[in-house]
Amino acid sequence: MNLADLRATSDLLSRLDDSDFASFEEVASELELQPDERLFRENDEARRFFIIVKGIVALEVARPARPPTTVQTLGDGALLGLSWRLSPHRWMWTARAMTATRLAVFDAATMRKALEQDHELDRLMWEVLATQASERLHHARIQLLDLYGKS
Amino acid sequence: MPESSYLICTESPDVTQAAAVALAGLHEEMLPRPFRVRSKRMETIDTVTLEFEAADGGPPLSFQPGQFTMLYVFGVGEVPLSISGDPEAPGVLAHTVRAVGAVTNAICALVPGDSIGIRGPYGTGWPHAQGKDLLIIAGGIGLAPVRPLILNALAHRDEYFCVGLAYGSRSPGELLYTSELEAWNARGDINVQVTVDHGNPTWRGDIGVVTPLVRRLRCETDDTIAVICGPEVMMRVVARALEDRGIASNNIYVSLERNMECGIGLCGHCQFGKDFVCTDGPVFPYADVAYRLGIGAQ
Repeated sequence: MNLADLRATSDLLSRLDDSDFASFEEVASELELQPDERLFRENDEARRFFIIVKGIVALEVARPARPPTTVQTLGDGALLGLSWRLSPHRWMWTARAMTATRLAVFDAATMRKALEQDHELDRLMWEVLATQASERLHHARIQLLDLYGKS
Repeated sequence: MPESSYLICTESPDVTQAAAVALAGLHEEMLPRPFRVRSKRMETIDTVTLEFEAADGGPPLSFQPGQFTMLYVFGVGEVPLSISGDPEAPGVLAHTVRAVGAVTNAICALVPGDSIGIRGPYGTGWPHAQGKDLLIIAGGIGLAPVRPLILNALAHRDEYFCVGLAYGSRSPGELLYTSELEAWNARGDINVQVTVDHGNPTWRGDIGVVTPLVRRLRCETDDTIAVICGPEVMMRVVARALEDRGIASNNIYVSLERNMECGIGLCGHCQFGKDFVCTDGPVFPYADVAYRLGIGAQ
């Protein structure tokens, strides 16, 4: 899959050298989702990860007898899926397209195997994942402050 | 007797006369002009936009985007409010008000035809960004003080490079100016990004904090002006994200809220370090205030 347009906006792809970028292009496939279509479900095995080419994907959590709650959305260029790299490789959230969405898809097993053989790329991947996790934790904490409520 | 009064009384007659003239000027500045409510629009369950027109036959109230006025509800009290209307239509003075206290509740209860006292405009305005990229990031009711800037930029769109707006609110029902947001987005010459902290079943937009949206606002030049208006924590976080994008802190502007009472730098209630927010602000370069907001070194 041609990922050239994504390279500038993706936190992951922008950090790859040309050789690694070419490898990512080689293994990436494309997926299109319709609005409301589910991409993966909480607690299922994380067999893939994604980069959003275009669209908005909601991370949501199921609630008993009520509609699921969206905790965060991810948009163009975002890395979607961290659990594929963290044992036990189970999704923490359900992902659902909010708009028509186009994704670059990467097979988790293939990628984990490649990372085991390339420690430099593995280190880079961990750095990107840790940065994403840190940013999302930071954003969640800011949201907890309920900044726009009446003070 | 306050020290300043003592000095005035013991100086020469010339100085005393000058002081009297100055005090008369201050009296004028402190005197509200009567305005009448011309229209009222509900923005959200607790926020209204009121349009006022002068009721004293005097000149229209010209202002710079970012400035504020003092609104006096007779018999209730006075509050500072940023102007939210079109600077090129000064005959109509617009304020978007959220009911959070006694005075703002009274303002929100006004109906067309009601009278109110207004003084101002006061304070500094948003910077001129003509010939540059202009990024506007607003949170909650903070969209109101930047609306004049947006209207002005769109009215003179060819004078700017990229213009972008990132706006965060608590929920879809608490978004301000929803029809305008749609209209601005439909123009295609301003990048409008909106997010809410909590969605609802019909919301199809972003959910989360406003910071990630900043990355989606494109810049064409190295000379970008960014303005931020919203809760102080949000402004700090966004300023950091803008700096991470390479925008210099002296090209980032924030609008501060402090306890403004006189509006003309006399009472000292809004003192913020070396500045009075009412006269030296409310718009400040982030570089000048970052350390006082708890960021960076003095």
